[in-house]
Amino acid sequence: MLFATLTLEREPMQWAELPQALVNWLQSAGAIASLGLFLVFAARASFSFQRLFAPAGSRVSAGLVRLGAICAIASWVGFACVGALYVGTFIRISRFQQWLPGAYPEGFSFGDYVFGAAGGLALAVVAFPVLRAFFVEMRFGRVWAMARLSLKEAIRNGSVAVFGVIAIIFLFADWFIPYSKPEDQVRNYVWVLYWTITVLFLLSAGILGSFSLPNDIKNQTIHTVVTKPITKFEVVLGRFLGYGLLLTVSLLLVGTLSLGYIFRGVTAEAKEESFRARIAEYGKLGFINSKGDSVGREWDYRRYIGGDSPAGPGKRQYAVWYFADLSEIEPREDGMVRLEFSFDIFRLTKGDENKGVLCTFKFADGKTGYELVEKQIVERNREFDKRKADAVKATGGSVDLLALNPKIEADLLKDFPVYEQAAVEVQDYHTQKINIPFALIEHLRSLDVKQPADAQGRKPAAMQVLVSIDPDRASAAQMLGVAPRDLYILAAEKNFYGNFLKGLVGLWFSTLMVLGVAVCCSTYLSGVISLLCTMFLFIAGFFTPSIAQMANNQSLGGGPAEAFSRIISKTNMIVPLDENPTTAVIHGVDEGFRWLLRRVLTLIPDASRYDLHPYVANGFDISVSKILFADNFIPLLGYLIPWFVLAFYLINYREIANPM
Amino acid sequence: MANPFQKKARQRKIAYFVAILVLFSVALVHRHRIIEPMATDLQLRETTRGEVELTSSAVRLLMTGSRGLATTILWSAAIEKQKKHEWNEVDLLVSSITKLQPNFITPWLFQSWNLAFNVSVECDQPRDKYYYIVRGLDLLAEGERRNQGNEIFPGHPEIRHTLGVFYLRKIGLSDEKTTMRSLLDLSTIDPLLRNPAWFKTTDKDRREDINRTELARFCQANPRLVRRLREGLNYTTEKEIITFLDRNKDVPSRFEAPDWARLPAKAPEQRQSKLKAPVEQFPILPPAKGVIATDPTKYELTNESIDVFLIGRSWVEYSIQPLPPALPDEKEARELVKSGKRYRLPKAMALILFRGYPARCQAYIADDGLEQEGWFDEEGWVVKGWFDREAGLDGGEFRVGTERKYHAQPAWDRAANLYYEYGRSNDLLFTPEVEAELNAAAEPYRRRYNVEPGRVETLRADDRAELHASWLAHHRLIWNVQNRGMSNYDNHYYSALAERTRDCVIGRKLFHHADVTFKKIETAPEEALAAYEQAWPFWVNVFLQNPKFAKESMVQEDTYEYLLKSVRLTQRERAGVFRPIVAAAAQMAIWPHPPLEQMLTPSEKVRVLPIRNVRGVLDWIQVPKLPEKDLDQTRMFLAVWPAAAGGYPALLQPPPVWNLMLSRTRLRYEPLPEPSIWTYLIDENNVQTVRDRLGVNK
Repeated sequence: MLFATLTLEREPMQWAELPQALVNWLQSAGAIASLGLFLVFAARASFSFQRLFAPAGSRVSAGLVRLGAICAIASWVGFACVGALYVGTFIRISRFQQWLPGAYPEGFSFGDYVFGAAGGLALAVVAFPVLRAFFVEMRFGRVWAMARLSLKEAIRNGSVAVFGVIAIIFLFADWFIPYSKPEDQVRNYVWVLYWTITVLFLLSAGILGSFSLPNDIKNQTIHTVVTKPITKFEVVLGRFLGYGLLLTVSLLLVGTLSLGYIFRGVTAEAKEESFRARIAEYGKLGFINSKGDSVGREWDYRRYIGGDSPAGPGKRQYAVWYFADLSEIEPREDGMVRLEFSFDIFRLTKGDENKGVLCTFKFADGKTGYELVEKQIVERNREFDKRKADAVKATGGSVDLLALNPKIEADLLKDFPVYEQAAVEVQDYHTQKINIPFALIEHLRSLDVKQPADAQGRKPAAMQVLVSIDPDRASAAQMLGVAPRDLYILAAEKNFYGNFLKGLVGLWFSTLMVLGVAVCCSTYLSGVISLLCTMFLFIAGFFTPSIAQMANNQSLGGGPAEAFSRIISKTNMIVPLDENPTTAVIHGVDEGFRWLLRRVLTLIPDASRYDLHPYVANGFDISVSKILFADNFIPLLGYLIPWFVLAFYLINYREIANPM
Repeated sequence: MANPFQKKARQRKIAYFVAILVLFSVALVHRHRIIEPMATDLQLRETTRGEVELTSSAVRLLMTGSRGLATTILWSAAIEKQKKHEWNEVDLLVSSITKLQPNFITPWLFQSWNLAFNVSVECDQPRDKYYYIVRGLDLLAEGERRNQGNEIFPGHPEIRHTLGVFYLRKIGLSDEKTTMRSLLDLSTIDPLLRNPAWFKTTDKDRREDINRTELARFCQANPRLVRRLREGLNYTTEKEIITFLDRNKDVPSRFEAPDWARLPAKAPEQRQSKLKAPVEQFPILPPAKGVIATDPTKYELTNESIDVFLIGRSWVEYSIQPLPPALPDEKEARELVKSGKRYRLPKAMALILFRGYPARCQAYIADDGLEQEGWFDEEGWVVKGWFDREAGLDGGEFRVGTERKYHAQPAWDRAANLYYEYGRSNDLLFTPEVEAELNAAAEPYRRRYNVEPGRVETLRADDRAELHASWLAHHRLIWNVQNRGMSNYDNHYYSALAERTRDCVIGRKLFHHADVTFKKIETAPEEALAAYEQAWPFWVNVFLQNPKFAKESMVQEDTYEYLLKSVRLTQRERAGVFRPIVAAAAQMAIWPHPPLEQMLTPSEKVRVLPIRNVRGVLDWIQVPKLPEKDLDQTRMFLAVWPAAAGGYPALLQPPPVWNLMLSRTRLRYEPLPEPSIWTYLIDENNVQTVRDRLGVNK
C-alpha cells in the first residue's frame, strides 16, 4: 500500500497560535515601519507628518496629524525601551531577563507587549495614509479598468502563450517518469506536475509583475495613464489584480488539464490505491522507558524504540500517541474505526527473512499510566477468555464466535477501558491499518467529558495509543522508527480530485505572493532588478529553516566569526572555545550577525509552506480552514500587506508626472 | 528608376546574400568533408557512442549553458530526497540527471549503484529491495546503451562489468540471496506459467485445494526455484509456495504482464506470453554476441540453467569484448588502445582481474548456484510429501531437476576450461616446457644486465632491437608470479580442476546431504552420520589426487569443519557406546579403581561426553613432502612395478588405490621426526583456526 505518511518538518500553524503570530507580525512589520519613519525623518528635513497624512489637496484635521506624530514618537520610545531591555540583560541586570521579548515561549512577556505595541503604533502611522487612500480616494472601477488593461496587454503581447509550455509536459513527461510500482505512480505524477506548474507560474508571475510598470515608465506609456483621473497606487493595484486574474484563470485551466493527465496516465491499480484524500486525526508523540533513540540517520526526523528496555527487564519501550480530541471520529460501516500507521524499521540483526517486525498496539484513556494499562490488559484478556469459555460452555459449543467476540469486547469496556492488538506484523515504509471498535472511542470520549481541566485549563489526552515491539526473538532485536504523523486515526476520506485542486490553491497563493512582491519592487526598481529581488526572496524562502538555524545559534561551529577563528586555529567544531577576551569579541560579532540575520529573516517569505503537494501525493486531505486559510492565506496576507504599504509610498513619491 | 542610394543598397544586399550563400556552402562542404569524418574518427558524434535519445538531446540543447547548473541542483536535490527516504523522487531525479549528461559514465555508475545498493538497503522487505535493485540495474543498462558504441567503436567495458557485478553482489551473494534469487527466477518465468490462481482448485466439497497436476508441472519446469523456496525459505507447504507466487506475481519480468483478472479460471494447455523488447526486459541482458550464452530475443533465454551468475557471466563476457587482445606486456595493450581507437580499457580495475570474471562467474554457477543449493548430478531432487499420492510416479517419488543442465560436474568442467583459457591467454599458466623456454630466452638479457631472475629492470633503448624479446621473456616470468598472486589464480584454477572430478562432486553431495540432515538432526541423525561416513573416502581421495587443491587453507578449513561436525554428531548419537568406554577408561587409569558408576550423579554422567579434544579421520593422514610431478610418478611406479614384475595385469591396482600409495596414518599426537619427509594432510594451523573458530579449544 502507498506509503501514506506526511513527513512535515514544520507543523502547520494552528488557530490557537494566531495571537502569537499576530504579535510577532506586529513586532516585525512594526519595527520595519518604525525604522522607515525614523530614516525618512532623519534624511528629509522637509518631511512632516502634515505632508504624510495630508498630501496636497486633501484635508486632514490638525488633531489627527498631531495624533500621528504622538504615535510615531511613542513607537520610537517603545522600541527604545525594548532596546534598553536588551542592553540591561547584556550588562547582567537579571530582572530584565524575564521581561525580554520571547522570554516565555508559551505566553507573552512585558517586552512582548511593549514591542508589539510599539510596532502596532508605527504600523498604524504608516498604514493610515494607505488605508485612507484605499477607502476614501480609490475607486474599484478605476482599479478594474487598469486590471483589464493589464489583461489585454498580456494577451496581446503573447504572455499567455507561455502557459502552453505545459503541453510539453503532458506530451513528454511520461518519458521521464520511470516505470514505478502502483503505489508510487500517483506520487510521481503529482510531483512532476506540481513541480512543473510551480516553475512555470512563478516565473511567469515574476516576469509579468517585474516588467510591467518599469516598461510603462521606460516606454513613457505611464504618462497616458497617470494623466487620467487615476491615482498611482490604483495603477499598482490594477496591475496586480489584472495579472493575478490572468494567472488564476490559467492555473485553473492548467490544473484541470493536469488532473485529466494524471487520471489518464496512472494504472487502475494505482487509482484504486492512491486516489484518496484522508482526513486524519493526529496525536502528540511521546516515549515511555525510552528517550526515542537516534540510529544515526542523517535525517533525524524519526526517533526509535527498541524491543528491549534499558530501564530494566520486563519494562517495554513504548512510543505513545496522545489524542486530545476524539469528537470528530465516526465509525465505518462495520462499526470499527481505522487506525493507519507507517513506521520505519531499523534492523540490528537480519531477523526472519521476508517477515516484518511484530508489534503490539495498546489503547487506553490518556491519564492512565502504562503499567496500569499493561495490568488492565492482562486482566481484560483473562476475563475475555473466561467469558468466551462460559459462553461456549453454556451453548454447548454452537455459539457464533464472530458475533460473540465483539459483544464480549463491548461488555468488557465498561470494566476495562483498554484495548489491545497484539502481534501486528509491521512492515517497513508501508502504510498499514488496524481496526479498533468504535465502542472504545465512544467510551473514551465519555470519560474525557468527565475529565476536569487543571488550573491552566488543560486536560489530559482523551486517548493514548501505546506501540511496542513484541518480545519475539526476531522482532525484539530490531528498532522501530516513529514520527508524530506516522500514526493517525482515519476520521473520514474525501475525493482525490478536489484535494488536487486544493493543492493548487497553495500554488496559487505562492504565485500571488511572487506577483505581489514583483509588482511592489517594480514601483521603484527596474524590471530586471525587480525580478532578481523577487526571485532572491522567494528562493531564499525555501531555505528559511537553514537561515533560522543560523539566526538562532543552532548551527554547529557557531557564527561566521567563530567559524573563521576555528578554521584559522584548526579547532574542532564541537570543542568549546577558550574563555578569553578574543572569544568574547568573536561571540559579540556573531551575536550581531545573528541579530541582523533575524531581521533579514522577517523579510523572507516562508515559501515552503505553500507547497502542498505532499498532502496530495500522499493522499491526505488539505483542510480548508486549518491549512489553506490559517497556514497559507493569513501568512500571505501578513507578508503582502507591508509590501503594498511600501509600494504605496514608493510609487507616490516617485517622479512620474508628479503633480506634487 | 532607383536613385543611386537605392542602387547601392541593392548591390550591398546582393553582395551580402552572395557572401552568405558562399559561406554557407563552404561551411556545409567543410562540415561534411572535414568536420564530420573527424568527429566520427574521434568518436565525438553522439551516434558513435551508442543509442541516441531524442528527448535527452532536446533537453540538453534547450538547457544551453545552464546544463551544469541544472545537473548540480538535481544532484543535490537527489541527495536531499535520499536522506528523507523519498525514494520515488530520488528515482525521478536520478533519471533526469543521467538524461542531461548521457555520455558521462560516472553518473550512470554512481547513481545506479546508489539505487541498487544504498536505496535498496534502506528497504526492509526483500521485495522492495528487489525493486530498487531492478531500478539500479535498469538505469545502468540504459547508460550502457547510451554508450554502447557500434561495430567499429568500442563500448564501455566498465559499465558492462559493473552490471554483471551488481547482479552478483545484490542478487547472487547478498544477505537475502535466497529471496532475491527466487524473485529473479520469477522474473524469467513466463507469467502464464506461474499464475497462482491456476495452482488452486476446489475439491468435491467446494473447499479450496491445490491443483497438484499444475503445481507438479511447475515444479518440474522450475525445480531450482521450488527447492530454494522449500529448503531455503522453509516454505514447507504448497500453499506457502503459491502465496509467494501470488505476492510477487507482478515482479519486473521478461514478458508482457497479463491482465490477471481477465485470465481464464482454468489453465489452458497452450500458453505463452509475449516477450518484451530486450531493452525493456528484466533481467536486463546484453545482446547475444560472441560467446554470450543468453539471448534476450528468444523465449527460452538459454540452454543452461537460468541463474543469476549466468546473467552475471553474460555481462562480464560482454564487458571484455571492447578490451584489446591479451598481450604479455600491458603497456603494449595500452598503446594499442591509444592508437587504434578500436578498444577501450576499464578505468579502475587491473586488466588481469577484469579478464578473469567470466571464469569466476562460471565457478559461482557451479558452486554457489548449483552445489550450495543441492544440485549435483542426475539424482536431482525428490519433492517429498506433496505429490506422493499422484498417479504415475516413477518408484513412488516425484523427482525433478535430473537434466544435465542442473549437474555440477559439467559446470565445474566449464569453469576449469575457462580458467585454463584465461590462464593461458594471460600468461598465468605456464607449462614446465614454456617456463623453461622463457628462462632460456631471458638468459641473454639477464647476462648482459647482470639481473637475477625475478628482478624487474628496464631495457636501454639502444638494446631494444637486440634484447627486447629476451627482456620480455624475463618479465613475463615476473608478471606471471605477480599476476597469479594478484588474481589468486592458482587457488581458483586448481580448485576448479579438483571440483570437476566425479569424486569431488560425490563428496560435496554427501556433505550437502549431511548438512541438510544435520539441520533436522532430531528427525534423521543416522542419515547425517551415514552421509559423513560415506563422504570421507571420496574426500580423502580428492585430497590425495589434487595436492594443490588440498593445500588451500580455505578448503582445508571447510573440510575440517565438516570433520568436527561429524565428530560431534558421532559423539552425540553414539553416546551409549562411548560413555561407558570413556568412564571405564577413566576408572582403569586410577589405582585403586574407584566405583565411578556409583560415584557419578546422572548429570555428571551426561557431561562425560562430548570430549573436545577428539580427532577424526583426516587428522591422521600424512603425505610425503614431494613435488606434485614426482609424487604422481612415484605413485605410478609403485602401482605398476609389482604388476610388471609379476607379469600379471590383475595385480595392477585401480587409480583410487594409487592415490593412497605414499600416504600413511599416524596419531596426530605423535610428533613428526625432524627432518621428516612427511607432513599432515590437514595443516596444523588450519586445524587450530577451525577449532578456535568453533570454540573447541576453549
